[in-house]
Amino acid sequence: MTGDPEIEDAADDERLARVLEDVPKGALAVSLAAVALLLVGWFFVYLAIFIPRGTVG
Amino acid sequence: MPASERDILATELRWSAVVAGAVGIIFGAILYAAVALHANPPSNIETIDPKTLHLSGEFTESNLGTRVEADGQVTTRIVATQFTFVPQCVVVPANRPVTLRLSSPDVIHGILVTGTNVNTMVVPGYVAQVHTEFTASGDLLMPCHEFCGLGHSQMWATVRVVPPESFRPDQDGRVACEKP
Amino acid sequence: MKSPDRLTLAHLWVAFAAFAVACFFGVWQMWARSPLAAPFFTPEHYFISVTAHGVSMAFVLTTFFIMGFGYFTAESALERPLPGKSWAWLAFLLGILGTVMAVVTILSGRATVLYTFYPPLTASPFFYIGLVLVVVASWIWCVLMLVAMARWKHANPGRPVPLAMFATVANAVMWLWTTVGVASELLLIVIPAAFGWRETVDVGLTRTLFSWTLHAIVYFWLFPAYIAFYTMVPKAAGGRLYSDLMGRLSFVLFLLYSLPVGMHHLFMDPEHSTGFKFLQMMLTVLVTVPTLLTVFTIAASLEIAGRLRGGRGLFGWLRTLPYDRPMVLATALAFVMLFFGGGGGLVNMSYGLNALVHNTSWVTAHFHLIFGGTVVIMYFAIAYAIWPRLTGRQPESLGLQRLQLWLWFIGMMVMTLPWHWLGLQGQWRRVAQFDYANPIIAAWGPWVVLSLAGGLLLLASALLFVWNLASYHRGATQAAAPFRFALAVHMPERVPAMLNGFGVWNMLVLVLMLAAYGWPLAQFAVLSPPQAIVHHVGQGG
Repeated sequence: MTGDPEIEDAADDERLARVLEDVPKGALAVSLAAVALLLVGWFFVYLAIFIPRGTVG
Repeated sequence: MPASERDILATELRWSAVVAGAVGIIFGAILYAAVALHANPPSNIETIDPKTLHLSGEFTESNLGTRVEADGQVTTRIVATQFTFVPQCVVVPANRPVTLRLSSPDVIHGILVTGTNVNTMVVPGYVAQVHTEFTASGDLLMPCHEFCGLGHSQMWATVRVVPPESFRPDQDGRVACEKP
Repeated sequence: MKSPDRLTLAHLWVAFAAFAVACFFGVWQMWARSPLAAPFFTPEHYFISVTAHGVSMAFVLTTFFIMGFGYFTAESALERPLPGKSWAWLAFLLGILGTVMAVVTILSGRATVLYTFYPPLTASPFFYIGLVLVVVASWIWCVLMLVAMARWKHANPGRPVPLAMFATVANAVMWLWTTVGVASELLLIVIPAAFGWRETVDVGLTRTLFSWTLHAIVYFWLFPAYIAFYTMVPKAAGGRLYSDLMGRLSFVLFLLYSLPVGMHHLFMDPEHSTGFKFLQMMLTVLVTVPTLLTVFTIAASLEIAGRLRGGRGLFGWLRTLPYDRPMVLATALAFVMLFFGGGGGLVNMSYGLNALVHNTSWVTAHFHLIFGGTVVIMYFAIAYAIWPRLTGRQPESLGLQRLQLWLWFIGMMVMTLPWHWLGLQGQWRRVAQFDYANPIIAAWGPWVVLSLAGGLLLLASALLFVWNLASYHRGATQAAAPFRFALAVHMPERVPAMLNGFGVWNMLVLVLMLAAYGWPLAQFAVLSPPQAIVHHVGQGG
């Protein structure tokens, strides 16, 4: 039953082994994209907003 | 070839290296801003007794506002108190180093100046000091940005940035906002 | 119904009741701040509301949820009865008593100091005593979690503590360290001041002690969400946890690096030097690491599930995930909010960049998105996941659960994204009423109204959440099967002692805290800065 915590574990060893040949390429792609976008966002704030507003100290 | 526990750990280790690189880049940029671009959190530690602030010499009412010191340094002194800034309007020159010095005789306040990186807490017991250089002329808003009591919402001041040629200190070196 | 189920249910109902009431306050506050006139508006009502909203969300919702979920985990993960149940009920009663004391003082206008209660503004002593009682209740919980794990380890020598319980106890250990700051502040300084036994306070010291607690507490709140990511989500998606060991490591890294970083809340304060601010910034950089590790490990775990369901290629697995299951949907939405909320946090912690955003709406946006969004949506998902077990009933409609989660996500994004923009414009915090006649402020009006619309969606979602939980009690009964946590690709038979206990980590926390907070706190005793006069609120002040 969907949403039920007692969902049967769908992975028998053979199917799991086959899937693990591809994992974690997708996770790496998504994670790399997320980190790259974070860096872009951070540098945008740093270069386009923070630095032009002048010195502080 | 099923992924062994060792393979999985090796992959996680490689991802950790990516993470270390990413945070390293951010850390490097922060360091560069601090050292080369003079962007640091204001951190001048200087104490002053809040109970005698109005008698302290530096923060007596006649000494507040903007003054050009003998060495040419522009210093603006402001008292933050429930629920007003004294003075409520200050004049500063554009494109010149300015030092803001604030203190409080009562509770915690704080300030920012819109459109700039000027930001500091004003903690009773301490002189808050911020060095900056204003780049654009105009009237900027300087609100109290830390909850200081029921009148907090009405506590704000004006920072009037004037072009250098309009910044004319009187014989005491003082510059004040024109009375309306 | 078994006693631990009643114990957990009692805690969770208190948490969610406080949460729902706080949502009403939150919407009213946003209405008051907007260009639209709000009923019952006075500055006093506004700041009472902010205090009530903050205390409910930051102290009551969280502490009661974490305690209740912890009792559930101790029973389910360790498959043993909870030790010291009478102590658990005593703690619950203490928590209720403390909450009632705090609420009464707040609503009667004698504690209008907000949930951060910075001296010298000082409330009724019974406000603080109420909060202390809630903390003491949580300390009892911490001890029970430690005892439960110790007894399990004694009965299972050499075996790895189940990850869900290992993480729960890591959280308990971290919480014990965390509360030292605020407990010291309240017991040694603020409560005596509130009673009138001292007339001045060292404001720098109280701010610094509070900062000790202020950052680590958000990780206390975060742990249940991450426990769900590692130990519930892989199973709900139909896959496996990619790495149990990395899970343990992440929780240990949170224990280490949540604590010696509180000074990043004091970057703009004049009582600390650049040296210590820089050190604590570096440590804050390190606390981003366990989150970035978690993102990858959970993504890999979901990838396993997606590929088992036929997903192909680099991104196909994302489409085949079973989003009809509330736990999976909540996780996807949580990760989107984690991207924005975490990104905002990266700006906050970046030393000089903090000057750009400190005490602006950017900060309000950040913590509503990362806590109210990422963490609380997982609290909902956990509740939906364990409610059948707790009540012995089937859910009436998963569709309503999914709707509630979507409403929460959309509402949170609509409410918080404009606040980021407004913060950069200079909109400052904790304001009851803006002067929209001022041209700078007038430009903010439309964004404030947009944000309010988001808040209304959140309120609808909060009410639907309570409805969804209540509807279980009318649903068909089912035999309560034991709750099962996710399996890892490789279930560890043995783990290093360092990832099965906390002795070494406690030592390291001590070393880090001495380095990061040693002098910053000692300086107040050594240098004895001038003190400020205590300002009692609710007496015309």
